Amino acid sequence: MIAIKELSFAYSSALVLDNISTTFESGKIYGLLGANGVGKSTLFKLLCGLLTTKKGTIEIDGVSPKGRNPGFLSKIFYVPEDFEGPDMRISSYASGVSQFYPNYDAELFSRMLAGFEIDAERKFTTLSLGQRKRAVLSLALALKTEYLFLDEPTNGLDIPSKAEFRKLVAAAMDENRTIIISTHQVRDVENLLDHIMILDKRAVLLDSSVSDIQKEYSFDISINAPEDALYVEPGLGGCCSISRNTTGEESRINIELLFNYINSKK
Amino acid sequence: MNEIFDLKRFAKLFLYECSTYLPKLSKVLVTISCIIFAAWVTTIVFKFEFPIYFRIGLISTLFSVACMLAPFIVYGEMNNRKSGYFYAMLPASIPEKFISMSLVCLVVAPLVSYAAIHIADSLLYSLSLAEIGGFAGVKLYNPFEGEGGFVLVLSYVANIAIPMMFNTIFRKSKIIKTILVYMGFVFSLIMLLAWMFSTFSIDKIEIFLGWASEVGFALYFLLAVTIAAFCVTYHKIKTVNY
Repeated sequence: MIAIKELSFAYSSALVLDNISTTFESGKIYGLLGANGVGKSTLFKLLCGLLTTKKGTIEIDGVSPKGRNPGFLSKIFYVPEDFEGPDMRISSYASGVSQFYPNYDAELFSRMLAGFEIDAERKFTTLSLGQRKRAVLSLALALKTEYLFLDEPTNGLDIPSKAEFRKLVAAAMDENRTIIISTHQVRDVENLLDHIMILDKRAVLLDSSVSDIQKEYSFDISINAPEDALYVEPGLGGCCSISRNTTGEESRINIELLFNYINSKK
Repeated sequence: MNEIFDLKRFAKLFLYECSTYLPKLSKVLVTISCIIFAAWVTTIVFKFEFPIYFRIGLISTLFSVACMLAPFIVYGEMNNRKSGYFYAMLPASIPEKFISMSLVCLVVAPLVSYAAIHIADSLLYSLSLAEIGGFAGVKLYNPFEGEGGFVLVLSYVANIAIPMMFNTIFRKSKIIKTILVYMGFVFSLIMLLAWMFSTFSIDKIEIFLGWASEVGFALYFLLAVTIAAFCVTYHKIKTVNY
């Protein structure tokens, strides 16, 4: 489990995270949402020990990331938004890195590369952004680390690759694993998420499971917005609205609408 | 799991770094070999002599340059904000990463450079046996032979430890910034000497220089700088942020 307590972080004088507290439990896929600059990537770097702060604490299975201990590092993997990759073949890189991760599954890696239509013998430097992303996502999932942090994983992926990505993430999930996905492309991952966290500079605006959100809110598209709607946006099929769920029936979450609603309340 | 030092994990890391990072040195070694050939071609074109002592001097200089550049080339990306975090996130301890980096920069990279330069020189010799008079014959220095071995070994270690340190301190334009620091140091030394000569009499300066030579001031200074460079490098590997 990841426990964050009263975490604050600033780049020079620019405050990015201010007194954030939350937890991430095992066996769940979290969606980390927030406007540009609220500190989603910074939070990932803090979780990996790539940045350090004196204000607040982070513990992953009781260990602080600050020390960058090998035991801790072998449990986590981070895929950044703009992965460049080394000037070497994918297969050589994977075989070199994977020896430090005890749960690495070479067969799974090959299958994932095949699923993404990537040739393992090509060099990272000869690949497009989308291809590099697919290669590193395959490696990230095949390493089978307990904690996986994906920063904008679907950026640069084409439509078939996005579908493949969802399939592979869903297949890679188990009860010991925690995956945190930060994204602006919410439609790409909305069916994957178990839990949604909306982050703002000053606070966690929403930290709730998908089922709790569905119990609390009702999402609807209709020609005329309901009178009791909490938030309404014009859409192609009419008005997209959020209302209190009074019937107990669960509706499909419109994450984009939810995000805009939560942000409008702050 | 031993979080401080595990021999098996260290061996994996060392081999991984040798196979992943060391090939980056190849471009430098090819360039250096080309310089040797270019020097030879120049002597042919302009009908200069290419005596063996000149080649030995050239090879020694190029070898020193290769050794000093190696930390920047091999580990240049370790603190890059975009690509360097993979180094930091590799599951090995800080002591393991530090020792592996030191071994690669102090032993492996110089040996590879030495071999590459000598292959180039041997090729040159084979091509032009009559004109250049035999192999350059630069021997690896044996510190157990002759006097002043420790100072020479220490100079060699310092010449690599200092670039290693600056490689971890600077994030961009590392080589240029390091050269500027060296130039700043030499300039400060000249200013200090100028101040001494303008303030004190020649006799007093001679006494001071004699004392400094007697107590081995340069040796202690070199030792202190080398230890400081290693300490800073270790600290930067441990605390580098991305």
